[in-house]
Amino acid sequence: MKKIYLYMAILSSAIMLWSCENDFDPKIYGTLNPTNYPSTAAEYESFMMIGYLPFGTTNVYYMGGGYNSFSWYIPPGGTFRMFDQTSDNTAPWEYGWGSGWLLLSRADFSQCVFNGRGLSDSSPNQFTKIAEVSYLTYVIGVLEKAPEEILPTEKKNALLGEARLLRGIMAYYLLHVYGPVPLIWNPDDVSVEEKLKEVERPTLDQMTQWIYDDFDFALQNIPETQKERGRYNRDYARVCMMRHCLNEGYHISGYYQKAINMYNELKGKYSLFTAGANPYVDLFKVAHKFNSEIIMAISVDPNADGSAQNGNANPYAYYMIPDNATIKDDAGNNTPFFPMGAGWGQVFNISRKFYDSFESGDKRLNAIITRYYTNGGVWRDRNTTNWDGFIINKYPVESATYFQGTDIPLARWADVLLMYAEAEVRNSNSALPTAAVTAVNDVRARAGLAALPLSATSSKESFLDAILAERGHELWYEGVRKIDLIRFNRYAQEVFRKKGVRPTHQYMPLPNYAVEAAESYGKNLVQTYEREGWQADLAAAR
Amino acid sequence: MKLSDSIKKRSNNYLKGVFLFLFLFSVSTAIQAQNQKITISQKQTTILSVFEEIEKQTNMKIAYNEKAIDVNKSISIDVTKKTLPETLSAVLKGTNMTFKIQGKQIMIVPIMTANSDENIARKYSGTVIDENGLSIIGANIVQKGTTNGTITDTEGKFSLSVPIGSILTVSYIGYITQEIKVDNHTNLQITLVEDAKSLSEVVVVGYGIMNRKNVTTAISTVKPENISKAAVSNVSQMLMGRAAGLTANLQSPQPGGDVSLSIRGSGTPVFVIDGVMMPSGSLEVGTGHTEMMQSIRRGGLAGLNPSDIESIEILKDASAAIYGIGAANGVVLITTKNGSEGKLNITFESNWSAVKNYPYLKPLNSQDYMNMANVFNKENYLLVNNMYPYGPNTYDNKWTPSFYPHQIEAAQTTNWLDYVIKNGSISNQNISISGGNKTFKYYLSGNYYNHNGTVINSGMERLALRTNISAQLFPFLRLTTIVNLNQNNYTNSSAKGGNTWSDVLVGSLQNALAYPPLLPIKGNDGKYTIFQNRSNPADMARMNDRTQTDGYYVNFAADVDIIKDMLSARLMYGSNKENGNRDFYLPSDFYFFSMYKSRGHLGYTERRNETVETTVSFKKQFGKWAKVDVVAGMGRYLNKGQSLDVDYENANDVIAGDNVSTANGPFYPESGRYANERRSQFVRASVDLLDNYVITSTLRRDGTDKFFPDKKYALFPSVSIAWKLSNESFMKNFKWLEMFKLRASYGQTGLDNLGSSMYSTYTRADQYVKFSENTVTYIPFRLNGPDYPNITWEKTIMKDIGVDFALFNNRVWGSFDWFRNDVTDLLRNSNAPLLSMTPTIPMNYGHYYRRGWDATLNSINIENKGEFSWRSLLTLSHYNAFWIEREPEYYYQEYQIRNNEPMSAYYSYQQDGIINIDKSNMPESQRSLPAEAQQPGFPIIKDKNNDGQITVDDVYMENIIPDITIGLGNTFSYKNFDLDIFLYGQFGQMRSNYALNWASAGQLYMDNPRNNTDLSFNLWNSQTNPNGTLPGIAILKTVPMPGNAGINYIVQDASFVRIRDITFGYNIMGNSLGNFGRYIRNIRLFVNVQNPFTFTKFTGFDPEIYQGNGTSMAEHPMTRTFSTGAKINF
Repeated sequence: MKKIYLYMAILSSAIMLWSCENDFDPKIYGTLNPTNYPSTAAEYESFMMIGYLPFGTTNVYYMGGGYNSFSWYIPPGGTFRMFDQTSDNTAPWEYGWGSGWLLLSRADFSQCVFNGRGLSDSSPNQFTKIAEVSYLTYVIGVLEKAPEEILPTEKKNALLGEARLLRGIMAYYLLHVYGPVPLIWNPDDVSVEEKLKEVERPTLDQMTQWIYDDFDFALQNIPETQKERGRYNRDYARVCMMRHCLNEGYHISGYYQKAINMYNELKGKYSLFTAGANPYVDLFKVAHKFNSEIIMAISVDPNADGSAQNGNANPYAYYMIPDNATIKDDAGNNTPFFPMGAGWGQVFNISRKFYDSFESGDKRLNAIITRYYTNGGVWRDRNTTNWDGFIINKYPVESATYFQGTDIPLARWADVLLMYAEAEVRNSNSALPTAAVTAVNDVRARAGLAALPLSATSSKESFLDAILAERGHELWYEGVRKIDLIRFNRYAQEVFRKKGVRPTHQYMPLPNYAVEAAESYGKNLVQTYEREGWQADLAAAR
Repeated sequence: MKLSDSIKKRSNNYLKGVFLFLFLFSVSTAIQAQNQKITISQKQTTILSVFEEIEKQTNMKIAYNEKAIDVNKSISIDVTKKTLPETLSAVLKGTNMTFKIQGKQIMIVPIMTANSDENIARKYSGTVIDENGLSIIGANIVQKGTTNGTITDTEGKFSLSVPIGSILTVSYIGYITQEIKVDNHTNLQITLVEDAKSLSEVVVVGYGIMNRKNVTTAISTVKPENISKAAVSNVSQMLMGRAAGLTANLQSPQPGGDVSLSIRGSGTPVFVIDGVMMPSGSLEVGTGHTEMMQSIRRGGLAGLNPSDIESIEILKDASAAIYGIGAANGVVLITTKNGSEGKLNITFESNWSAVKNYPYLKPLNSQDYMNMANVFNKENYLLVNNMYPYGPNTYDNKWTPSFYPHQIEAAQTTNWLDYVIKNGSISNQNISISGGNKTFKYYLSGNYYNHNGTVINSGMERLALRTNISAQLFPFLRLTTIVNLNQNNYTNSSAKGGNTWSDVLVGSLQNALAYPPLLPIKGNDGKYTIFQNRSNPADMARMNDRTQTDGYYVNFAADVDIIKDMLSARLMYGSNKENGNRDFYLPSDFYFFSMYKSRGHLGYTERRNETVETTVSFKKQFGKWAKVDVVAGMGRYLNKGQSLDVDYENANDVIAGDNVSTANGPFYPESGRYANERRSQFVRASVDLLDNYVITSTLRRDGTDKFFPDKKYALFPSVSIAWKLSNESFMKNFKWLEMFKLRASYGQTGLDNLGSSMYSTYTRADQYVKFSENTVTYIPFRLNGPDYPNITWEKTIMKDIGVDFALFNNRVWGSFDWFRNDVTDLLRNSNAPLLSMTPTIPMNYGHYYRRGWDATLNSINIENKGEFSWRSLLTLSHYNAFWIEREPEYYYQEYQIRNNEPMSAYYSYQQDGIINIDKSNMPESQRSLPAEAQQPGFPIIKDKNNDGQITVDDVYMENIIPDITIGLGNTFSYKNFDLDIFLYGQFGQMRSNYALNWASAGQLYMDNPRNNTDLSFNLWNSQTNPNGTLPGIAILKTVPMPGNAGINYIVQDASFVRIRDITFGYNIMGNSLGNFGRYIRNIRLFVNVQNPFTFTKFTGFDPEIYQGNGTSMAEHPMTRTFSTGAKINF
């Protein structure tokens, strides 16, 4: 019966074998970890690049992990939705999809308190982006600690300048959606739990300073030019700084001068695009990418299709063309929507009252379509009762897909000229500087308009009025309108005038979940924010 | 030394014992019995009690007819060491009865009858088989009312001489006794049906089997034998309503469709097939880079042929604790068929089924669609411009219609659904071969299953082969090998979708409902028409999307008897490997995702689950008072897998994925890999004291590679006790109470469900960063978070109290259980502090519990009355789940219950009619709402607390899980016919009816509306339907209700009763087939209908199956299946 011993021996050795407890670490494939990444200069660069995700345009909206959040230039939750649709240039979308789409187009922010952490097309929540700012702060911290032998100081500072510009823009947009919001600004704080729970709103001055510091660092460190088109450079930092200083100059001294300095640094490098019969209409076309006027744009490829790995796409036409538009009209001619055809729905429109505020002969009106032929076989025009607003043709259809090759403009010379004029007039307490008037008139001239009449340049107030109107006519659907109106303390008044409704809030209130979470940390996160002057603006809106 | 000595001695007796055991079992016992000496000395006793004493001393059974012998007759007897015949003769002295000994049976028969029959008898011979055609060895065949009888031999054969016209009683332990009247056919084939009575049943438990009467925990058993499998592709499809405490809901009627399984309200349980841990979900190949609609909703265990299953055990309480980690959701043990000793058995079963859709949603025709669009467009015009009835202004006659009368008149209707749904069919062929002798047993089976779905492009084809071979190599060593090979070919339908981009990725069914009926299939240019950005539903048949999965399962086990009947060991290695290929192609002229572009994807995925286990079992009876049963073991469990995907674009439509190098690109390759490991040690000890008290305790130590070293291992204990109350002497008086057992159990299980996310890693960001017209690419990596060394197991504490009972001579039996499961240390990725750079972080938190009860009741209502039998099975289940503590960053809505909140709470304002045109029916409370909510056509909100205003206090909470889930089976048999009707249902369940969501005024008033269904005739409007029951246009103007709670107008009572199965069968015995009878044992012919009727008030298309969500409600339609089939035993 030796066999019995044999079997028992096999059995016990098998048991011994399996009961080993070493070599029991997790096997994690397809990832890197903090001990081996980033470890080369090239890896530091691509590590920093994650900061661009909130500024790209693909159908994958989020920066990765956890909450979904829209990129700033994706229409359902981007700057158009935040700063144009809620402004005076857009009519309420009464024949649209209802819910949050209708509310924001009515400048009704009352339901934003119910916005959830997740991604919602109709009720976009931007507040989750404070986590993305924390991540950018982490990125900045890692870059700062990069060993000199791998990342020499000069290269390091260039990357840091870029990272801080990206972070500054994030904070800038958040400020203009919500007012001041709590942010993790110090890399040492990103993993300190108490700091992550310090969620009270900073003062406006504090947040203004954070943004200023980031832009200022970028101004000194980001390369003047980048070898890639669409990658942020020092000139874009100058525009960002100029915008910020103009917005906040009323409460911090020296900012208007800083804005003027930015203009002076940019001057000579850019000029208004004036080629062709109607340069404004051609300005954004594929054939004129990065023309003399474009300081920064998202560089888009007509072959992009919105998928995450195919790079930036321009889906604007999709959100601007009615879903019953046709390629051919009743006479068999191509419509402006050829060859793409109908869009998804007219999420964005131009209100009739805003259209009518243009001076006659303004060539910029040619970028707005006021009648179109439907697939139901009828023409729609301003007399059609069940059509909310006109069609934006600023980013025109040039190819058959929903993803056009048009670049998405972020900063252009016309904007800088108008900002410069405004900065000058706000900075000077006496006579209007001629250069300021010239700057405005240059923009008007390109639109085929005469110089401003004397009445408009006779006083500081009337000139500011003229600038606000000019900015509206020049920069509609470039994501700046609501910020402009608030800077002029005219948001409520203009919205009431053109939309027929009063905004419920100056800034979007913070979501309830955030307020409640803050409460659980023992913090008071004030839900709504308004600048001084808002109540007066609101009172005047009648 | 002592141990090996005893082994030596025992092994000498080995051969003798085994030989005697089955072969000569009956003979030897008969001989032993006859020679056994009996001693009885009783005065003034009855024949009955003497019989009982003889039974006790000889271990034999005495059968008699009460009418023929008065057993209560008092006698006196005094025998000392007499043989059985001598004793019996003494007892029967003075009666006109004699006896006959057959095996372990003693028959008391009249003296005359016993002798006279022999003369005029004919000789009948035949075989006794079970339902699977397997021979039954040792079955009793007795001429009714006599002692004349015999037993079947090792091939199940018998021969017996009885007079023509007499009745044969055929019986065997564990089977229902059958009576047969003999006629001129002398060759008989008798099929015995297994008796599901609980007492003799053997139950599979974790790492062993147990007699049902000794089970201390809540275990439900499903025997698939009696469930029609004609149109069943997947194990779970058989389980609806079959086991108490198991909720099985059909998710999709698509081929291979999924059934969601939940034990007592928890998540998907673990499947263990013949000891091997299996993945519970189906293996599916993704779509890689290309976005596709998610139409696939298939069930797991797709490679397992339901006909190969012997039994399914559901471990519902602490019984699951021996599986430790992963068993938090309970365990489903599947035991497959194996060979048994006896003659070669061949069973062939062939089924064919026709599959028809239930009535589907009905889209409007062109005229209704256009008129409806005009009505609501005008309604919106009136509302926006404050015109009557929505405002003070009068209508200005300036509204421009969406469709003009001449257009409406001229419009043709395309019924898009006709191009998408159709009739289907199923062909299901099975063959099995089994048999064996005492050293070698085998079971082989083959299955071909072909399901042609009821929606375009949906199909499934399966080939499965299974073998189970066991060999007793040495008396102390048995080897068993199980192999399953399968191949499944699927055509993936494009039916359902709507996950990513609500309109772009919708499926063909949703598109068929959305496409305006006035559009033709193709336009004048010969191209398929396009509506919005949706694919043309008729064109979607050209989407070519196929998946092929191959799998093999091997299970190799060695059973070693170390000490016969006491100590044994088992080594088991099992591996389940599956791989899948997917190939889809969208031709260049096919419009999809808003583009005409040829797109394709080739994907490969594989996974392997390995189980290596060693167990040692010890069983011993200690005197009369204790029986001990111990199992100890250890195991390693490895799961790994990998995938490879290539997406390509701009391919040649003819070549497509056959050779992607011919495509112009771009190409998007992707790959992935994972591996998980668990290591365990476990022990179970069970002690049966005095046949009255059973105590079972288990302990498992589980380790996972996922956690940090300090947290890797955890202990999962359990203890359970049973008190067999009916064995207590004080219960003897309750004659009707055959068995009554009280049980209680406590156990812990765990879950490690988060993968490797506890370790700090950088993963590729979802997006690439591109510049210069996307020609420059950066691939950034993102930190998922820091290390989380403190994360550990999610724990579930299971408590159960139950009773098992059998009443009225085992005519009624069943069980009842109460339970409470507490889940703590929930392991989830949960919301991080607001400013954290990772918005969610893994954490252990919170506490919730589930409680409820479940009951099973079996009954034999009529047994063999004039060859008629009727049996019933009833299962009842109920559970409820409540939160005790939520995650730290959980945000409570204002109206939410914060204490003990039901986990399935649904909050809403209730609708109480619709505000009419003149607002005369609008209650005062409505005036507290914004003006938009006071418009005609807006729902009247119920003022729950009658305080005259609507506030968050008026929000209703409904617990949307069913109050009770039932299953009810009735089986009738008469002669050779049998009829089985099985139904299941759920009561008190609320569900969102997305079909009502679709029938929305908001979808009609827009410029170019999508089509609607006939449910839209219920929409309120001021022009044509002022009595409508669904809200009108006013609700679309986004009225902020207090607290932002919704208004309930799509949630409905989804209680239902579904007749799941009706089977009508006819059995033909081989002997009635003349010459064929020599080859054929029996034939069963049957017809079966699946889901013939559903009773419900739910107005959507089905109250049970998955119905999508707010943006997509079109799933596969519910189906009825009509099957016919034949099963032949050779």
